[in-house]
Amino acid sequence: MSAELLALLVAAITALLGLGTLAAVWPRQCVRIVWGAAIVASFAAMIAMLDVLLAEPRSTAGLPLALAGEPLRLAIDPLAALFAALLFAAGAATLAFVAATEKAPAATAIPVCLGLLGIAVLGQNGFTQGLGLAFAGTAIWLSGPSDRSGAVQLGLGLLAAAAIFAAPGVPPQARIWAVLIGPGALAGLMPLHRWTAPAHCASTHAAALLSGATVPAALYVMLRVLLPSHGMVPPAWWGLPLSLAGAAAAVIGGLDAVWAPDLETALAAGTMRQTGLATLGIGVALTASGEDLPAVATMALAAVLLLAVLQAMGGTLLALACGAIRDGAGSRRLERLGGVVRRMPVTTVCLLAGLTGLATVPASAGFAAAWLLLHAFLGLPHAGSLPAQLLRCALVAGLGLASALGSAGALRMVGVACLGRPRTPRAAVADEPSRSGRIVLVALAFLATAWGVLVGPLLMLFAEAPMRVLTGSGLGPLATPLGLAVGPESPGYAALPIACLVAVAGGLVVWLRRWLGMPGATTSGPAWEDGFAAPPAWLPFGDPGTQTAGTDFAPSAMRILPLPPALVRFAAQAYKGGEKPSLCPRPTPTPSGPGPAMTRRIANLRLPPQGSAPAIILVLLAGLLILCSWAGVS
Amino acid sequence: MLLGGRIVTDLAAILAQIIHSALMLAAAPVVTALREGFAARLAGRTGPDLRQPWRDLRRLARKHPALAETATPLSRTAPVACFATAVVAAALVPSFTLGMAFDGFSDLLVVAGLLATSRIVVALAALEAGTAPAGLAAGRAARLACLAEPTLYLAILAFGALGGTTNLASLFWLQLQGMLQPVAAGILAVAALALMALAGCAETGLTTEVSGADLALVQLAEALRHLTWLSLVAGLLFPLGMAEPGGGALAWIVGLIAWGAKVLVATACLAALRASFGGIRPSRRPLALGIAAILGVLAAMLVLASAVAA
Repeated sequence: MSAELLALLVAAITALLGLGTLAAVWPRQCVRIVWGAAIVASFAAMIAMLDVLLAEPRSTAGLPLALAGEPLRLAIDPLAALFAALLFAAGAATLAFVAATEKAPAATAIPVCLGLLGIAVLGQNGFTQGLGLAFAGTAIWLSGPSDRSGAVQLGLGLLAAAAIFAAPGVPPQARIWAVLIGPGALAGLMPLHRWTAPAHCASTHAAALLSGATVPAALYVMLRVLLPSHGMVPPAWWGLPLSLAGAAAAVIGGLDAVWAPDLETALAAGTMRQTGLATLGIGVALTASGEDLPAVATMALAAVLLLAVLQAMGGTLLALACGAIRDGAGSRRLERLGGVVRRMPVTTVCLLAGLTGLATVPASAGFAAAWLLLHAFLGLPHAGSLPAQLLRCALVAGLGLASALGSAGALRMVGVACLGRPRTPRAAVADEPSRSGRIVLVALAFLATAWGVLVGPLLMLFAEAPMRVLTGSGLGPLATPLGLAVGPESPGYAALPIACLVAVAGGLVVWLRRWLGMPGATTSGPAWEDGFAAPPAWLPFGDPGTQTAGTDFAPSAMRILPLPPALVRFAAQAYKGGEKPSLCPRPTPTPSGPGPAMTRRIANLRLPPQGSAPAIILVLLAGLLILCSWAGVS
Repeated sequence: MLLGGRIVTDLAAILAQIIHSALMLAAAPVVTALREGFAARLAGRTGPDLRQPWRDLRRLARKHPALAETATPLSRTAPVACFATAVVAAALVPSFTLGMAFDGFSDLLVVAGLLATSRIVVALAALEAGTAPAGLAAGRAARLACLAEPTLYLAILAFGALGGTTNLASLFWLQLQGMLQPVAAGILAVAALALMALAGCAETGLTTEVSGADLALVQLAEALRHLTWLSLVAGLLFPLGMAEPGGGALAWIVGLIAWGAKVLVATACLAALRASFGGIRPSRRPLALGIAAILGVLAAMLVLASAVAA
């Protein structure tokens, strides 16, 4: 059964790759057909994956495609099925949204990138996984990020990682560093996030793919390479660099999100925060399995799975909603938006739902992940050296800081971009995306919310089999019908009752207000500005300068670290607070005008500029060298 | 017989939950009046009547809310959401008895998260108005939350390591039995939480943008958040007198009296501390929260170090 499914999947992936190539060269009229086919292919792949996830306990099927001696093997098991389902769901949503909202969708990179990420997730050996990620990174790069040198470095890093995963003679310690420079960099981990972050600004679909599809795929490769499913037990110290890198990425991503000047930069930073939290989870899981605490490792890994699913739903939703606001309101800069909610209510509510899902608000999936991570920290052994315990306190404080920064960033993104007065006339006449685009947004918002409220039952349904692949045992008592629990008898976090209680309390208030005949709002007038003079007539939306642009929603780094000694002060100065520069380039005019249609189409392919040719040659040479040396070794 | 006994216990749990929720709702504005009364006494004035906040709320509830021109339905929803989250948080923190119906849901992180959500929702409504003071207040609230949250997680780590659970009812029960050892760690963690209350983490200062019946809801929610925090600190530090699960009516009455006395003493202590410091200025709040963070680290380290010794 699973061999047929695998064949179907390979057909879907091949179709996606082929369709993407076709869309690049076919005339515009046919592009729509190609897009429809791509949506159908990814949707079919997602359904097939769900079938594997729910029906088959464990099955592996190989596909022998010889490449340089070793077969390029593809295989499915429940873990791969979960992540492939996420990938294709996020991809289908992105494809559908872009096809619905753009008049002439030219984003040919989406199907190609999706297919390549599919290869990365279905790859059975590290080489296939790394190779898929490397080519997917290149595909995103082709779709036109601004910082091509960063993309080149990213491609190099990924290729190097693929080579390390593949080479038989490499010591296993190299894996951990390869994970950090390869998939970690692609997902936006700390020191290397500059490589991927600019690509978020390129286009809506690039941002959606980067946060919704690439991050889960990269997390999957990290899980596969690091966890003892290869028959090798990882040493306990592997958890340390991962935890540190994860906590740092979570905090700095959160800070950057609160200081970001525009929507896409905030989105890139928010993605980095989520990746950081997931990496922290993987680090804790590795530490716990090194200490022989399988229950704690299960808890941390459940948090990672939760965050991966949340990122596929919520990350895609945020990227698409931000793209909709940018296209509808004519600007990505927060200081030129504002008051969008009156013209784009559906988009705003979906954005709010997505941000709530990611933030640490009770009954959201982000809260469930933070709860699991905190309890995993609690479950680690209390005995240990003083530095180790201090480090644990620092990591927990970092987790708290990251969750507070997530809430502050969410408040700022919605409050400044969507609420209040319009800051420019263009923002006052913003337009909602088309109806089908709104349907995609609402569906994603519904899924992200449901994933938080029904976290227990959904984990039982979808995470039991993948967890068995990861740890050898299932979730155990972790997931309950009401929510999450640490042990079989201990009261845990009851997401569903809490959500119901809040809803009932709110409903009671509304009902009481009606029943008691309390007056509703009938008066409205200009907001009280604390005695400032009324704005002049030529400022119909008030003085934009009196409305906060959200530059003060997080304390500067100096204030976060209490009573800083010299070393901390040095570190804080190295990472100064204050508004960050935008990562997004100024818009360049698209090549259009008279000339043969084919020339225009080639120009729209966005070939890399002249200056980056040496870098591309370098990448190709490096890739060839790695392949040749590896073929020689084996 | 066994079934009958179980039904009686369940009914008692539900009754206790209803009494507790009603008590928190009714007492929250009174505690606000008490706080102002103590502050006034210490400043040499006579404070307001204890019923004054309720009178104010009733007066506000009769007024039409005036909305800004830029307001959307979100402006009317936010006060309801703010109140709903605050009241659920208040319902989850046991006051006079353990063994209430919602004891199983009262996780420390959930309660803290609900209180934070209640504040964030008001900040959203403030940003909706689009005025300068509201925007500044929203930014201040977000900054303060960023400073307070690490301390909160550290305190939860300390209590979780002390009691092996983060469930509030279980923690209260363990403290009642004197099983949260070492005591010093618990005191340090509670001190961190109390310092957060002193630094005004439950207050938002964002009430300028709502009016009428909505303002009544937001003010009631703010009073509830304050009382919940006090009740939590009092229960974690000194749960003496609290009725145990299955306690009778007499135990409940004793628990009610003990809870009232604890809230009274805590309010008086907070007022005295504020009067002696002259309050904590907004610019000094980060310092206070930094000290709270250090207390939290100390508490966690004390627990973990004592585990090594044992």
